Amino acid sequence: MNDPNATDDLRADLAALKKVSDRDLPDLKQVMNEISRRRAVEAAPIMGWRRRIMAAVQTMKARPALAALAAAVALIAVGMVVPVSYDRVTGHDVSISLAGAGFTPDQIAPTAKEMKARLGGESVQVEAAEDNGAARFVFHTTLPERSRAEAARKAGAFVKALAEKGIAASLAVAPHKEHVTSPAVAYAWNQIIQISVDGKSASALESEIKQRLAEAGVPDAQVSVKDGATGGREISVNVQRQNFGGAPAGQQPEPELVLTKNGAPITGGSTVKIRKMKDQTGATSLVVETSDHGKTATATIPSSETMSDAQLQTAIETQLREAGLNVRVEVVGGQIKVRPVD
Amino acid sequence: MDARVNEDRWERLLRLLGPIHEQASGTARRLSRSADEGDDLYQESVLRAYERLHDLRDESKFRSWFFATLLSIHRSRRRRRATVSLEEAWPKGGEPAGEDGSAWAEALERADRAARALDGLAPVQREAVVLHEIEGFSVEEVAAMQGVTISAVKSRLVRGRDKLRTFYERVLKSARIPGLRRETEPARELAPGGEIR
Repeated sequence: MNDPNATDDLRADLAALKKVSDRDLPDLKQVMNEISRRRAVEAAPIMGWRRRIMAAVQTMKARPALAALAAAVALIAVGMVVPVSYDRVTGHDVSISLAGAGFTPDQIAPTAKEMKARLGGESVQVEAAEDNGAARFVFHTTLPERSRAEAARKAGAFVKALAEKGIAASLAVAPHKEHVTSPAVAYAWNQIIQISVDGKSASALESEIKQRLAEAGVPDAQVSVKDGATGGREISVNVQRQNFGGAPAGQQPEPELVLTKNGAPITGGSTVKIRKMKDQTGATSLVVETSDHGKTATATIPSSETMSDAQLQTAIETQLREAGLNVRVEVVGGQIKVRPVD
Repeated sequence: MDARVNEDRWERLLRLLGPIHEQASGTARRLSRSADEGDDLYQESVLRAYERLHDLRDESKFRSWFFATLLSIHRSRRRRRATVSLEEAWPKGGEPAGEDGSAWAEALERADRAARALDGLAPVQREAVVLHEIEGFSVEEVAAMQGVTISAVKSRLVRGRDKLRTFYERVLKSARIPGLRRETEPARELAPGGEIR
């Protein structure tokens, strides 16, 4: 015992431990025999697998962080094989209507060829219709562009070229959706919209958010991006959906919008998510989810349709403040605004 | 060809292990909570050493290399093993030949108490205390075996000794008779009527 401060009892006990534990030590030959026996047991395939599984379970028990990581990996692995069905925007349908004296049936084939060449669609179908006694031809094609703006730009250039030839044309562009069944991970990937804010003006960002949401199956989002007078930016995305008795089966959930700066998701700031849920009796429940600098709170207001703006404002503000968020709520004509109080 | 290579490897390991076998197998027991657990730890260490013998370049460092292997397995076992009873920690058969019966009984009780005290230490502290205080390795040797700096070993020793002192202060203070007592017997006192309460 090297510790000069050790008590006599401790010294004696450690010496006894050495003496007792050294008794009947197996010699090297016995050790080797035991190891041979163990190796023979481990060599048996079933026992080997059993041992490995048990060892893995023991390791998981001993290391909760590792277990959590393994669970996450397992979840992703499950996500990669479990299929889900959903609608995915795979391109855009372009319809160009040609009518009037400037367009004659013998121009159909060359126009279709030119449209295919300029727009790059796989095929062009022509639909003939009669409009108040006048012939009208609608040229349909599908472009692979997932960006609505890009599809519209290409088709618009073609319409302009037709106009230069004296052919009047009108243009319609709509998302082309496919119902696909693919692994959950791929679905989740499609549903996360990442937009970089680097170097973009408020209006450029606004149109990009709108366009990307449309591509993800939300064409009617009202998007507003405003630069604040004292710095910062206010981004508002308004999507209205009405569901009765919960979301119908197969409906696509909302995509998640992730804004990034310098390649990293922007954290902090404030976000507000407002849901109005109407049940079959017509009663509306209002759910306001607010997050401010990492702190989140939810206010749930049942029968909100029976409340005045002032009552609604007080109810939401009270619940959010009780949950620890210092916010100011404004309700005007049923429109709700939630702002953090500095 | 493979069998010949394996045989050569076993022979080389046995040659290297022979001189340190007693000390290493005894240390394995003292790091563990029972003789059986210690023997198992030692066997696993020998097997691991066999599998990784090709990593050993300098045979003069075999002792330090083997103990490092043993400590590594000890720590991983500590992480995954639940506490076991110390009731049958050490062979409780009759005293060895030439040993006084009561002296052996006292040694068993003292060994149990030391094992309990060591059990309250973190695995790395227990290793440092066992290797330095019982096995007599220098701090430098322990540092090489644990794969840490000398100051880290000193720090582990200081903390380990503090915990041991605290354990002994508590045990001896609560003992009815100063000195040796069985940990498993709670202190009892007689009530005025003679009943045990």
